[in-house]
Amino acid sequence: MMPQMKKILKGNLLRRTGLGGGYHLLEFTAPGLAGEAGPGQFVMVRAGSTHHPLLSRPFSILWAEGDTLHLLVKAVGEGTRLLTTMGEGEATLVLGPLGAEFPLADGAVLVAGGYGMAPLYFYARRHRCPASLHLFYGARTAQHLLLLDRWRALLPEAHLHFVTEDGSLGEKGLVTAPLERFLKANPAAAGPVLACGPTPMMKASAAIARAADRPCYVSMDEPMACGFGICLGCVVPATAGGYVCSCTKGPVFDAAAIRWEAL
Amino acid sequence: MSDLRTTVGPLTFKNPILTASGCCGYGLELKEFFPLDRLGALVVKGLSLKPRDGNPPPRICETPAGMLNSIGLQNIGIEAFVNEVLPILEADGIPVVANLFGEEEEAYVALARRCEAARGICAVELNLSCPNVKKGGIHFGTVPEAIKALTAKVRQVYTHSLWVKLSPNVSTVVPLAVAAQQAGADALTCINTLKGMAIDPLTWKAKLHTTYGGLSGPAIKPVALRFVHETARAVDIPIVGCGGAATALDIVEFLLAGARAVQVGTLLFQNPALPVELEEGLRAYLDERGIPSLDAIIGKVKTHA
Repeated sequence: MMPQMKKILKGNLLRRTGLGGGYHLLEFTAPGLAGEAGPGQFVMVRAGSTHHPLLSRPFSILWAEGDTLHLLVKAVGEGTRLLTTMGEGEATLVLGPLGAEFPLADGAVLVAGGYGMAPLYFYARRHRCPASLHLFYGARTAQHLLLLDRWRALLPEAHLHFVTEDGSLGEKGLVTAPLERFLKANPAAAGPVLACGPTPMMKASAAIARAADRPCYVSMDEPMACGFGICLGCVVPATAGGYVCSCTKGPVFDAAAIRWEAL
Repeated sequence: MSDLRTTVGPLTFKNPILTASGCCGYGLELKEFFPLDRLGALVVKGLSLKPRDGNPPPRICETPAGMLNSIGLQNIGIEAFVNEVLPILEADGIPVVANLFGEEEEAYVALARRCEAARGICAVELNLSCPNVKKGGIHFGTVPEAIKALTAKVRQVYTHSLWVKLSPNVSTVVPLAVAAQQAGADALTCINTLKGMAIDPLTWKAKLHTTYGGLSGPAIKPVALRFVHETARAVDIPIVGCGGAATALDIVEFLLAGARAVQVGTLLFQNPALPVELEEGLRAYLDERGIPSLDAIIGKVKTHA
């Protein structure tokens, strides 16, 4: 594969779609960048044009096609509030594509928490055989389970396992419970577990995958100043000793490479 | 067209835009965004004798118009830098300034010796923000005698340009600047980060693992300008400005305050190609005003009465 040159460009907001609950779908024109992006990779997006907030924000890519980059953004702080109130046609700085991709494999088991679903959706949509995939998707309530229609269009209904903490949709509880049952019920299958969501969810998924003798890859979401390896802010403790940057060595890691007990 | 060349002591740089140590790695990541030789010089991340893992996360947090960091001087060590990175930078034709730190004077001396012997380093910059473990943890950069002794020892083994990076976490800077000059420093970098803290009011937790960290970004630019101005008037050696420069006009301000070059740091995180924009912006500023060279504006700030 040719080494990718990273791009900095003015991404124009094409369309902004509110999904309720503070979630928004943002579509940017990002020529060159969008076409090179792969599932698991992320972009840094600048919010606003003043010194506050100063740093760009990292977002896993939800979907990229042609010149268009699709991001899933939840308004939580000042940066995401600015991004989710951008007007269509406005431009902002977009940097990428950055980081490592999820390995493409048949029979992969996707574990998503909240809007950590984004890179897994990209994965399923890019996959040559999405019908071979299973999705375990958990959130606090039904309102936080996003883009379910799109998932239903990609995967067979029997492969979609929805979980909410309050039981408002699918199974009640944590997503790791049906994941564990599923892996135990399918001991002969070898597809990797691919997880993205809150750190405790990924930590538990990694342990469950290990017990089931399945490879596991996780997408870490650490505070990041640059996104390309110069600030050294986004490190995670490494099994091999010391720390590794989640922007350049990740955000997708083999779960065995992370020293979970130090997180 | 205006001449953007500047001199810092015996060194001539093609323009006054430098990177700030700790904000550009060793240049290898920035190379993916712009040709490094567009910079005046590359000031690399602080190097120690042995590689260092750095501090546990969380290491960074954003603050109004700035950020706090406590990376803990994670670095690959001087040997890996000299053997593996320096040849790449040399091929890029970029002047390299090696930022050095240690926990005792002997470490700085050994690092400077290694730089003296290496090809492709035009200057060393001493980071004095470390505690001196042999002197009860007192910071090298806060006591004139400590700066003088350390700078003099490095001066004995290092014949190229010797820069000393001053800390703003002091009550008065002039005696420190004078001490560095008397001990043989060729230039002073003003300033390192300001010590600060951030707290999450919802969880009551300190936002950084180490509780305190270094504040950088536009928030500290006024402090940096004051240090540059005050120091430039107190010593005869050149000053290299550093602290929150984000635009070409910020570069102009640092030059007016008396800096002969300006390091760009935190803003590289937001826009890694910023040095190219700053160089073009500075050139446009000078061209539009018919200012032939940087010497026509360096130190030319007009103060009231």
